[in-house]
Amino acid sequence: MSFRYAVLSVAALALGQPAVAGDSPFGYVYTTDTHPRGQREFEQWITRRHGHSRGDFDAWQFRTELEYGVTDNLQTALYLNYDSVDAFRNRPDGSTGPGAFVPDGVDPDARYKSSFLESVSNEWIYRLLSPYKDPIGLALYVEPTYGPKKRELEGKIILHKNFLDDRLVWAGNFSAAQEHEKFHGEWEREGELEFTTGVAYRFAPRWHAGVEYRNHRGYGGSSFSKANRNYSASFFGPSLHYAEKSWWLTASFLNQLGNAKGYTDQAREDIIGGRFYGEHHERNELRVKAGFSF
Amino acid sequence: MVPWPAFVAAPLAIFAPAAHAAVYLSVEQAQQAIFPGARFTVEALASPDAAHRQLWRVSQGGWFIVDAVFGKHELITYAVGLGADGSVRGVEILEYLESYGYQIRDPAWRRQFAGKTARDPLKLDQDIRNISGATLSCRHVTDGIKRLLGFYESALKQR
Repeated sequence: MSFRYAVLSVAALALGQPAVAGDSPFGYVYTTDTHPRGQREFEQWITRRHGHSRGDFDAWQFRTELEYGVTDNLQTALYLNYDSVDAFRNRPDGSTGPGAFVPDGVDPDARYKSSFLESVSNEWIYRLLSPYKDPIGLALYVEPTYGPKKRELEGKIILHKNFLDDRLVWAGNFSAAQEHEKFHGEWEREGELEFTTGVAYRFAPRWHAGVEYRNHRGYGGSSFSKANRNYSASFFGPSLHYAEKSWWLTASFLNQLGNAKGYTDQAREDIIGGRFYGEHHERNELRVKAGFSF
Repeated sequence: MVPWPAFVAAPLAIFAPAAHAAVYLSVEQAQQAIFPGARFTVEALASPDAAHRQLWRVSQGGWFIVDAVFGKHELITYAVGLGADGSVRGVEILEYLESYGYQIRDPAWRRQFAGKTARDPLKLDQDIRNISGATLSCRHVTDGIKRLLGFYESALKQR
C-alpha cells in the first residue's frame, strides 16, 4: 500500500464517523447551537491581529480546542491558547511595545519576536431555549481562563433567531469579563464588556455568508461603572462558512472602525485616527476556524 | 523517500468532501414500503413553490409524494404516502446529508404521522414528539408534511 493511499484511507475513515456540527457561521459571534449528547469535536482557531498606528505589528493567536456534548443542551470545551508576536516600532511614539503581546523591558528600538503559552480555558454553554422551536434561542456561557500572566472569568448571554426556514441566522452576544493580568510586574484588575452581533445567510447548500459587528469596552478595576471606563472600540466585517458532514471551516475578517473613544489619558494616547491600539486592539483581525468531528 | 504528492494529498484528504452514505431509500423502495404491491402513476404538478416535489397516484387509491425541506446545510428528501381519505399512511426518509439529526429515520418517530390529516396541528411538542439533538430536522420535516397535507386539501382532494 502506498503512503499516499494509506493517508487517504485513514482520512476517509476518520471523516466517515458519525458526524457533529455545533458549527457557527460566524467567527466571533456564538449561536445557541450545541453538540448533541456524547458528540465530540476538535477545533483549531487561528487569529491574525495585524497593524498598529505605525511600524510593524503582527500577532498570531492559536486556540486548540476539544468540545463535548454533555447533554443535548449542555456543552463543554477545554482549550489551549498560545500566541506569537512580531512587533517593531509599533507604539504611537515610535517605540517597540510594551503592550498586550509585548512585555515590559523590551528594547524600544529593536524588533521583538516571541511565541508563548497564554492560557488554558474551560468553556460551558447551557441552552435554555432553542431557536428551532421557541420564539428565540437563549443560552448562557461561562468560561474561566488560567494562564501564567492572566486569570479571567467570562460570561455571555447568547441570543439566536433564525428566519426564512432557518436559512437566515441572526445571533447576538452580551459578554462580561473580569480579569487579572500581570503587567509591569503587578497583577492588574480589569473588566471588559462586549456586544457582538451578526447575520448570515445560507446562499447555497453548505455555504453561509454573513457580516459581524463587535463593540468592545475596557474598564479599570472591578466594577463596570462609568468612572472606571477606559476605552470603547468597534469592529465590522464579513464572514464565510462552509460545512461538510464531518468538518467545517469559517473565515471572518474584522476591521476596526474609526469611532473609538478613550476615557483616560492613556487610552486617548492609544487612539490614532479614531482607532484604539492598546490592549489587544489592532487595525485588522482575520480569524479562521476549523472543526472536525471524531 | 516519500514522493511529494503524498504530502499534498494528506492535507487535501482532510479537507476533501466526506463520503456521504446518506441515500437510504430509492423512490421505488419508499413506494413499496408505504404501499406494498401497488402500482404508481406519475402525475403532473403545477406548484411553483415546490421545486423538489414529485407526485404519483397510487393504484390502491391515495397519493405518493416526494418532497424536500431544508436542513441546516443540506436538503432532506422524504416521501409521504397519503391514503384515499387524505390521511398520512407512512413517511420515509430518502436522503439525509446533515451532520446530525439522522434520528428522524427512527420508525417510532415517523409512525407519529400515521393517520394525521390537514386538520391536525402537526406541531413539535404538541402532537409530534421532538427528538432532542435533532430539533431542526424534526421541525422542518414536520412543517413539510403539514404543507403536503395542505397541498392535498387544495390540489389533490378533487382530482
